[in-house]
Parts: sequence; C-alpha cells; structure tokens
Amino acid sequence: MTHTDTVLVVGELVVDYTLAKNDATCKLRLGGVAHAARGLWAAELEYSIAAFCPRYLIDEAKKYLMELECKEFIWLGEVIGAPNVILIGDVAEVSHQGYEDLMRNTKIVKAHDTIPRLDAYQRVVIFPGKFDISALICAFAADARFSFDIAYDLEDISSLDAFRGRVQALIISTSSSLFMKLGKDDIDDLLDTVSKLLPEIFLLKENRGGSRLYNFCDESVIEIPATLGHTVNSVGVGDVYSGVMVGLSHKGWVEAAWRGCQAATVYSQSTFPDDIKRDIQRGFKLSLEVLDALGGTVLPWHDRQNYSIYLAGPDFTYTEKQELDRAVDSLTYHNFRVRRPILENGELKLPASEGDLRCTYHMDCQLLKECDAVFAVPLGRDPGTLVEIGMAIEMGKPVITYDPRRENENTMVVVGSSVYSAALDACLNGTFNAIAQLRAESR
Amino acid sequence: MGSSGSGNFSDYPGSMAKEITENGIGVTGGTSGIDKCKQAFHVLLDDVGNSEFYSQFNGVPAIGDQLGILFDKKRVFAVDRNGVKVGALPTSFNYLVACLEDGVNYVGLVSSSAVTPVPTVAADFVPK
Repeated sequence: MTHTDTVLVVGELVVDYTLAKNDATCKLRLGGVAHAARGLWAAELEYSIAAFCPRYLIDEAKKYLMELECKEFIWLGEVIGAPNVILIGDVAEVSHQGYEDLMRNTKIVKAHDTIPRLDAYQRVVIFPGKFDISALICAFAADARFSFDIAYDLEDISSLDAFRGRVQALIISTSSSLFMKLGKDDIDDLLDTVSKLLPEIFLLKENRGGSRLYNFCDESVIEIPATLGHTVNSVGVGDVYSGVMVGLSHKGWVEAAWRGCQAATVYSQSTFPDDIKRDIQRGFKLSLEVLDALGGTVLPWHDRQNYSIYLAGPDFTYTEKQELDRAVDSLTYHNFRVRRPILENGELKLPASEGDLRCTYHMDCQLLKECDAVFAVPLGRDPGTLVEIGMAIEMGKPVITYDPRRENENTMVVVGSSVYSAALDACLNGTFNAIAQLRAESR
Repeated sequence: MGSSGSGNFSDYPGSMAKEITENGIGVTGGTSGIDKCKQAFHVLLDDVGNSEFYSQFNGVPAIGDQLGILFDKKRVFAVDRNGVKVGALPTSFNYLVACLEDGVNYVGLVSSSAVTPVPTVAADFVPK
C-alpha cells in the first residue's frame, strides 16, 4: 500500500530525561523522533515512524505512538551498549542545553541484516543519528523525496551525497555544532555547501531570532518571525518545526514554514499533548496575512554581532556573581556582542587613585555611549550598575535589567527598563526583542 | 506549565492532569486542564495618548468603564462600548487573536486610568 500523503519520519527513539532544577520538576518523555510525531499528530497530519531504538523501548514506544495515531511503526534496528537516554540540563535553552547522551561512547546502532521495506512512502523526513543513513537508501521507493534535519549527529553534509537530487528540504539550527562549523560566520559558505545536494529549500532555524527560508528554485529568502513567550521546554521544538513543515509542504514551502514555526512555538510552551494540539489547531485557523501582520521577533544570527550590548554589573573578580556569568554565557551563546567594561577597561585596584578612577569613569562612559543597548545585572544593588542604568535610560537606549535576587524592585529601575525580570528567560527574550527593534528601525 | 514525573511515559493524549507525590514529584497527563484563552488577564495598554479615544475626547475612560477586545487585522486593541480604540495591547497578548478566531470573546473593566503625566489605562478582562 502506498502512503501518498503520509510522512515517514526516520531516526532514533530515545528517552529524554530533564533533570529537576530550581523550581522545575523532573520530566520523562519519549524523545528523538517522538517529538516530530507529537507535532505531526497535533497538526493532524498523517505520519509513520521508522526508528532505531533499544529493544527494551519497543513496546512502550509502539504503545505511545499508536495513541498519537501513528499509522505504522517500523523498527529499523537495535541500539546496543547504551540505554539511549538523554539527560537535559537546561530546558529553556537560555544557554547550552547541556544534553548528555548516557554511555554514548559505547553506543552502537545496528541495522537489521535485512532492512525493512520503506518503499510505501514518497515523503520522508530523516533526523540523523548514530546510524548509517546511506545504508537505508535501498529500502526507499525510487521516487521518494527526502528532507533532512541536520541539526544533530551529522559531521559532514557529504555523507548525504547518495541522496543528491532527491532532497526536498535541508534544515539546520543555530544550536547545531554543524552550523557552528559551517555557517556561524558566513551564511554564504553554508548555502554553498548545502546547495550541492540540490535541495528545493534550506531552512535555518535561529532560535529566538526566528528563521530564514531559502528557496533555491526561485532564489527567494523569507524571514519568519519568532513569537517569544515563556519557554516551558525547548527540547524537540526544532523537530516539530521540521516535521510539520515537511508534512505541509504540499501547501507550498512558505506556508509550510510558517505553520511549522507556529507548531514549534506552541510545543515550546507546554508539554501536555492535548493542550499542544488544541493550541496548534487554533493557531492554524489564522491566515498567513494575519500572521504576517502580527509579526514577531526577527533577528538573524549573523546580524546580532552588528549591535553592541553594554554589560552593566559588578563584573569584578572578587564578587560572587554566578548569575551575571550565566547571563554572559547566555548572550554569547546566542551570538550577541557583549561589551564588558571591567574586562575591556580594566579592574581598578582597591583603593584606586583619583586619577585611575577618573580615567576609568570616562572610558566606561565612552563605551556606554558606543553601545546600542544595556544588559544590567545589578547584583548587591551595585551603585555603579544603577548609575549606568540611569544614564542609559536618559540616552534613550533599551535597558534590559536582570535582577535574579530581586534586590532592585524600585520604580525607576522597573519602569525605566525596557524589560525588568528575575528570570533570565524573560530577559533573553527582552534582549532579542530590543535588538530586533533596533534592526527593524535601521532598515 | 508542563507535565512531569519519571516513573513512566505519562503524557498520553486524553488523560487529565494528575499530581504525583510519590516516587517523584510533578504533574502527569495529556491535558493540564488550563486553557489560556479562557483565563482572565490584566493589561496596561500601550499608545493610549495616540489612540482614537484620546483624540476624540481628549481624555481616557473612567475607572469602571466597560471595554472590549478588537483585532483590526494588524494589532489587538481595547475598545470602548462604541468600538472606539482606547489603546493597544502589548504584543505578548497577540495570542488573543487565535482565541478570538476560535470564538472566545472578552469583556473588561478599566481598573485605573490617568491623563497626566502620560495618558494611561489599565484594565481587567474576562472571557465571556
């Protein structure tokens, strides 16, 4: 039987385990291609799963996927030497997600000696794993078309050469190590590399900065904005985007990408599948014109370095400042250009001479003037930080105040700041919005 | 919000949220039972000084005045009983557009308002 409308999702099934942290409880979910499955189910699209997984997981996976209306489950092979359990440190992806694939060094993915037939499917989306992708090609129909989400587990795009000319979509994320290797400085190098596979489109998912859709057929580039909200769980969000986009590709890539983006946004904001489905279906009732009018946050990865962010905070070597360091990690991870006055202009000796004080004051003021926005972390009600916040407000610069210890809930600080929050997630969103606004005004 | 736990896969569709207190803490289930569209909200309106209402009446609605929600195909606005725009809702409330499209409507009351030093209106809304 041929499944013309059914998308075949190929990859690994894993167990995702989110570690309990601060006020977040632990979380156990079927992961890997199960994320795309949830997205396709919630989008009411037909799909089947062909997956590698450890034997112990098969029955649970089948049971779970059948509840998600998976048309067919095909076990492609065994995972041995590792439980296929991934520990997740940061579900909001304010910084590196901290994925830990347990026993990954001893993990072996072993395809069945005879690969099950996959030739009933014309549309296939593959999420690479520790399996040999090219070994599967003989199992597919001659007219099958492929999409690849190459965010993870692909060291070299040339390993997809066997699929050249049969590729519909190539999809990557700025969170990916492959992106960091091929495209972090220059998108053109990455485009040159992916174009060798002759795909119809290339999608670059840029986290909270939206995504860019490159259509190689008509040479168009579309920016799709992100809709930022409170992130409950970012794990698998990109897979949902990819799965839904491929599932809706018959509507044209532009609409498919917008819908994929909508589905991904909803998926990031809940882990209850029925809630996700309800909210995705609601969102799908809106026309593309309405979505376009509502807009959102557009801040491409490669534009972020064009804007300088002044870090106001007690960034001293002798201060306990782990929250400030985490904020810097987060901003750097998202490719923002963070200017740290104490690192750039030097840390004063205690006590400092009047001359040194005066010199440093003027250098810091100059740096503040040069920057486009301020990210303030006023730990310990640091007076220098509070003065810098005031100066920046008066200069008309956006000020994002991250107050993790809630020490500065003061009218002037709270109202004067573009964003004031004790949550880094909210401050990161605020930074994306503020810089995106500056970018929009400059165009 | 998010389902949680560690004993087994628990996020099956069709099951209601259930709190776990033994062998791990959290909430399991397919639905949280919470629908954002059906929740009340408080909002401080944007651009009140540039609104139709301020232009027409050189003032702001009084505390207790009734408001509604309107999407004009570009932005979400709070409007008075006659449909006159009082101010825009911040973009974080853009989710209301999908709620309106799904048939949920809202009614609100002005909770605070002032003309000086800058025109300001805050309101509480509930779904009806």
